[in-house]
Amino acid sequence: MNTKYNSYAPVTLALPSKGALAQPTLNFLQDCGLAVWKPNPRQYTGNIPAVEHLDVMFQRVKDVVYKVADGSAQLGITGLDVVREYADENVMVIHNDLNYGHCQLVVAVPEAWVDVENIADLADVALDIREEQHRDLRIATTYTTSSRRFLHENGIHHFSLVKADGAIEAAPTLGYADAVIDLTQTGTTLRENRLKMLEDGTIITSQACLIANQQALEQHPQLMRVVKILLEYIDGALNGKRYYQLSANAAAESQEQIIALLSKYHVTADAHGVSVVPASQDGNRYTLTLSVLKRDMLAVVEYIRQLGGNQITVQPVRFVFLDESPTYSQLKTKLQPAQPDPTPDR
Amino acid sequence: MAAKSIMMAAFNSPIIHRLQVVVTKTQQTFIYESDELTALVSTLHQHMKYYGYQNVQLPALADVEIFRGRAGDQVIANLVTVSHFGRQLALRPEFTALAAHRYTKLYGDQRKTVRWQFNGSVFRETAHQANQQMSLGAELIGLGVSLADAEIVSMAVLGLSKALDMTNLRIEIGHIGLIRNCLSQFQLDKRTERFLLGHLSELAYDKLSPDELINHFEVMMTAGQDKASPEQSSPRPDDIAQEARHMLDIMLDATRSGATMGGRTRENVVRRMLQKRQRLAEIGRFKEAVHYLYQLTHISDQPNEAFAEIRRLVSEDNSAAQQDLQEWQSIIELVIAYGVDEGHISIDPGLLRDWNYYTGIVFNIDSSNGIRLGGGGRYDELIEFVGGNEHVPAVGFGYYVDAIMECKEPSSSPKIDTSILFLTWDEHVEPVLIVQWSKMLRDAGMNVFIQRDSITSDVPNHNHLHLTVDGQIRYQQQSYTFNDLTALIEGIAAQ
Repeated sequence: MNTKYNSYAPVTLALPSKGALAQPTLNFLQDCGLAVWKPNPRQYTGNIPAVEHLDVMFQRVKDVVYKVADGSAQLGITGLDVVREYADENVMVIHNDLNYGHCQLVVAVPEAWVDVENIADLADVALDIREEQHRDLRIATTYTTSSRRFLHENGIHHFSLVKADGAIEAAPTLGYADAVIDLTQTGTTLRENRLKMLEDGTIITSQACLIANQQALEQHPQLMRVVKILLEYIDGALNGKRYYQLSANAAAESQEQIIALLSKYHVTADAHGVSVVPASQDGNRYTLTLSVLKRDMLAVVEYIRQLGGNQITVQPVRFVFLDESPTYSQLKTKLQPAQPDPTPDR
Repeated sequence: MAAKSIMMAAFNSPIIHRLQVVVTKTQQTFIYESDELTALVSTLHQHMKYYGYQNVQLPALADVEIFRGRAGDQVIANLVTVSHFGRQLALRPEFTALAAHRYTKLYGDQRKTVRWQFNGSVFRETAHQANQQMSLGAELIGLGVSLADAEIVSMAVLGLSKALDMTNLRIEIGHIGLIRNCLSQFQLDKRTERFLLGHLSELAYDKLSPDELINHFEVMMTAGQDKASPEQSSPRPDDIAQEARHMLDIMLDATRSGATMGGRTRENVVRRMLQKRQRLAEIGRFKEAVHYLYQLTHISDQPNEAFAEIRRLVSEDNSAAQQDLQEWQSIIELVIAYGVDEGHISIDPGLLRDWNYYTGIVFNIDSSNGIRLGGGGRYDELIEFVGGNEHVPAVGFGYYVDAIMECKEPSSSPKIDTSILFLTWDEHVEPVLIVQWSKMLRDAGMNVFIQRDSITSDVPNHNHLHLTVDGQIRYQQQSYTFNDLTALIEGIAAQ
């Protein structure tokens, strides 16, 4: 495949232009320090000033996948559900846990089908309909490929998919389908339409993901350089959300004594960014700062109190950078033979 | 811009996406190997012709319902489908359903005996890609006696062992009709029976133990219900009636408040609810059936020993199963009489192939190293299902040509077809001379392959002609003009 990309051209990142992922994607990138600049709201292009040579194009979520697949864009952010449905072998998921845009693709049937609780029941109903009504079980969905695959894998073979692009939940009431396969976040819309999810009927658990054209990644070190920068920002910001930074004052004989006490407790021993600096001229009081996982915050506060610490303040952390972005390390492994580490721009 | 739009539209189309066909060996073969394939197909055709099988052409693309009607779940799951102006079509996954459909179109309600053979590509979706393979097979429609089954089995086996000289084949033969009739003694609900047959291969080949299968059934049946023990959850008739009333109450309430029913009625829902409870009541019989089938499907031996064991398990009161057993034995005797080596036959009641497609014997032919080369069986209900006479029996088989090509000994070298002459030429030879020479040679009955590039080293000298700039052909170190054509042809023929 010709990826349409050459090493001298800017890298293009395709982002959702409308729908449930559009604004959350811009918010996410901003939180990561990758704010998108758009010359005017009606334009479908822009860039990310924080990363040199990175242009942005806005597309429908489905088209983000197509643009990355055909190489018009080398990178994209869209939903995992859309990738599973429309991507081909040229599309590679680089980051599958951007932690927003969560939803599920589920099988739902009318609430009144009290005899149907699971997929095995639905398979049985499909046979009933075939034998009694001489037709297939009709299922309305936008996601025909994922649905077909799931239904066959779960022993439902006599079905026909009714392709629909909107108001799918209404299909059983309107009479053109018996059941639906649709995206849901909380299940409220399904319930409002008198539908219920099947207990084992989740086809895809989805969220936003970062994708790339694999061939372009393999062939263009310039693209890998941009990916490395993006992933450093993204992993750094996502990691940062898991941490709090604590500051406290404590009396001690020396900095070493405080550090030794912190290293005795496994949570503070593993903490990031530990620093201990004198807080008073006489050298008896020190300010200690450390970043700990959010879930450990209260335990650490209690431990610092036990050490005689006070004036404890807690702040959110914006970024936590590890030795290297973990996602970038995984990407290099996936793209074996190993990519040479890109030379940093100077 | 327009071209790009078209390209994107094509890319976006799920139809185009699903039709990225992966070709297998028979489609990729090098030109000379392709001759081997043609020879193989021709040999098998000739072999079947001796039994009276006529060549028929069947469509590659047909209405999806022809295949979905009675095809096994696996065939349906792997259909490669396309939507054409609202009509669902499928690329043929096999020939049998098409043959049955053709038979019904030709003969309607009549019952006529036909012997058909066919070959061509079949398509199945594997790993989410359409996979194209070469198939060759035969159907004997309208004849229901053991002789017909024996004819098909032996013709399939002897085609490989005698016509193609393939040795040490292994033939496994089962009987799905016998399994079904043995199951009938447990009086299971038809969906419970379907569940059991659907998992029988796993039971037969120890992918599931009897206890695991029973547990699987219980979990499925009790899902969404009170998690009582199976014994406790077996309802009494009074309980069922009470439950029916309760369910109707719920349904009526739901309907009053505007619930949707999809395409089902309240009665459909209640009836199924009760059937579901009824199946739980059958759990004891289900367990007996599982243990019985476990024993039956774990028999696998040479005919005499296997039939003795099967006879021990088939109840004397079950006349239908007894009849199947007798028929099965008779078929094996006839197959041996046809010349199939008894030592290569294995009786395997666990062999099901596609259980909802076949009704009688089923068989597989494997190479000595376990590669599946072909298989088939009896399917007496298919003609009726596609709209034909309900009393038309049928039996057939298919060869997996790709697998046969893989297992067959390569032909002795050199691979070059000696009847092909390669004509090369010097750089400045007039093209018209090349055409004139090749035409004259072809008119004289020679196969001429004109080739600008130098020929490969595996082409023997006596298959190589070279045209020099002076218009003469050099062959075997001698030069020939147009006037020497007869001498040249004699020279070639002498090789």
